[in-house]
Amino acid sequence: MTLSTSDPETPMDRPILALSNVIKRYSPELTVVDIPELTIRRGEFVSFLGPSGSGKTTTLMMIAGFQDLTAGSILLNGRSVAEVPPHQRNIGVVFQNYALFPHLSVAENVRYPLRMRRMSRAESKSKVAHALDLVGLSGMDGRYPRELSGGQQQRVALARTLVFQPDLILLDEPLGALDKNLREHMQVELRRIHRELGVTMIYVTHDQSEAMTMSDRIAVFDKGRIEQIGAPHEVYHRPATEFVAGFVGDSNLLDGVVGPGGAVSVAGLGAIGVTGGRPGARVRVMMRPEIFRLVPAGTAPRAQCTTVIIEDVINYGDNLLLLARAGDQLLRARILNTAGARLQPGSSCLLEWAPDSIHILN
Amino acid sequence: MFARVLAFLTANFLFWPTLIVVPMSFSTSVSLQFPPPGYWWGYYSAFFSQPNWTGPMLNSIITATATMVLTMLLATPAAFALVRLNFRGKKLFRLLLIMPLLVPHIVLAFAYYSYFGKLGLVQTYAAIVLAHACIAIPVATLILTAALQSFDSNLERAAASLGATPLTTFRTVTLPVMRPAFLVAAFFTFINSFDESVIALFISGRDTATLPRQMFNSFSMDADPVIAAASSILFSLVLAGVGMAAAARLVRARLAARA
Repeated sequence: MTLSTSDPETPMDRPILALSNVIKRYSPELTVVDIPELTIRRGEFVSFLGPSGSGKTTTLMMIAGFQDLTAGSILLNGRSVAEVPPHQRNIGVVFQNYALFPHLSVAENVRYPLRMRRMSRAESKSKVAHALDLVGLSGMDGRYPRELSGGQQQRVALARTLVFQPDLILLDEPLGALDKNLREHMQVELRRIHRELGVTMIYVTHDQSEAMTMSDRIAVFDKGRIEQIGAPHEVYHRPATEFVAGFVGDSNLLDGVVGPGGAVSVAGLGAIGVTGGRPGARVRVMMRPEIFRLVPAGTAPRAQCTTVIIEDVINYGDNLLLLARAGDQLLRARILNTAGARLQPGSSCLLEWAPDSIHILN
Repeated sequence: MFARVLAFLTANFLFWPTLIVVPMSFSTSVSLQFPPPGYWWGYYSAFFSQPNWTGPMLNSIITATATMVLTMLLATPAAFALVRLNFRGKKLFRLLLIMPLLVPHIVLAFAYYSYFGKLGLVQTYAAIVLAHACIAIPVATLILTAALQSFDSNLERAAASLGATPLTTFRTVTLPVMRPAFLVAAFFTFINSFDESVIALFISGRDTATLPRQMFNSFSMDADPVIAAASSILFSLVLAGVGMAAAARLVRARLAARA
């Protein structure tokens, strides 16, 4: 299963999906989706990340054709899908609750899209076997959905979608109902399948670490808008807005002032070692908790450091989260839980940070 | 313990009186009499051979079947509309559908008698079927809406995304998954019409008389013990219907356990 590169109708450089000025309103006051522009390239794995009610699932349902647009257009392979009903869009959808047909066996579930395409039983047989093999469910053909675990059911749902080689696969929180270990396992599996088939996938999740580990690009949704879209490291290190900085990963969002020479300083920390903005301007400074390091007693600190009073230490096993105070500034610092790091609330220590990991928000 | 005893007593109180007709149906007595002086099959052979019993039996089967078909054809879209759509006057529509369940049958019977009389439909099959459909639609709609509310509409979305047209989706997914509810609704509709006596008394004529009407007539005129046989047959038919559903469930559970 590889994508055809010879088809002149769909050149590889044309985006597989393009949304422009897409708006969904339930009433004049209630706009649930407002996306001026969104383009997804062939073969990409894009996550829609956001809290519940941020419009990500609604956007997915509009792409699939299950919900109408109030305004705007969606182009699939360069053609408007406004008049195309869901069953003619050739888009695969994987639901959080699997949505397997309970009255059909595993093999019959996977064969369903081929049956709809009037493929003969003989021809579909090898495709079904191949799809089940791809998701690691060979030999489960005769089982019924109710006899499978949640993880297995989701694999069947995935196989059922992969088997008809759709242009685009939409996944609506597909791992949301699974426990943590299984979820991590399935994340790896999904990535492998995406790599092997090169199929375009849009993945809706509210779990930022899931979006980080899996995506080529992440679109961060809030209140119906896309706050930022970019590669995981971009979204993480260079968040466009405070919402993104707060939603993706843990962060310290601090008030800073640009000094006469352009150097930014923050109350309690002093000059933090970055420049930006007009002199006198007020800026928001984002410092991820993990950019801090404990300066061991008796060693010389680097240029940027500050003395903090530790208020609390939360042990996560592999790392420690310090809630520390530098003057009036409350900081969250995440440091490695090494044997030497014996910290008590009330004690003070020296924290240093890497200035190049600091991001100035506009 | 007390609750169990109470439940046991209640169940017995409900159950046994309905069974009193069974020994009476095998009675040799020429009138309804309990306990029977002797036993024979005579009234059963009478039931299956005398035209004044076979005719109504056939009429009942015809009207109940037609009522079932008509009711399912109307109740299915109504249930889908009530669960899936939002439209003006939905609450009123729901109330109207339930009305026949609340209005006394004798009132309905009188209304149908007057109305169908004007239309010249009294004493026709059509009249009985229409009237019975009216009282069966609320029952069928209630059963179907309850089932439809717990039906996962993602199944239909999944089918659509896999390439099924709306009609194919209904045929290959909605209908099979909802089959138990459809069967229960159809069964209740059939029984509802088959058992109905008040409306049948008013609007079924001599040629279209249903079994309950014939039983009533017979009871009020000569207390012919054939009605005990008729009652027993009706009763065992219902038991068979319920038993078949239970047996099907048991078989399916066994098969699932073995798989």
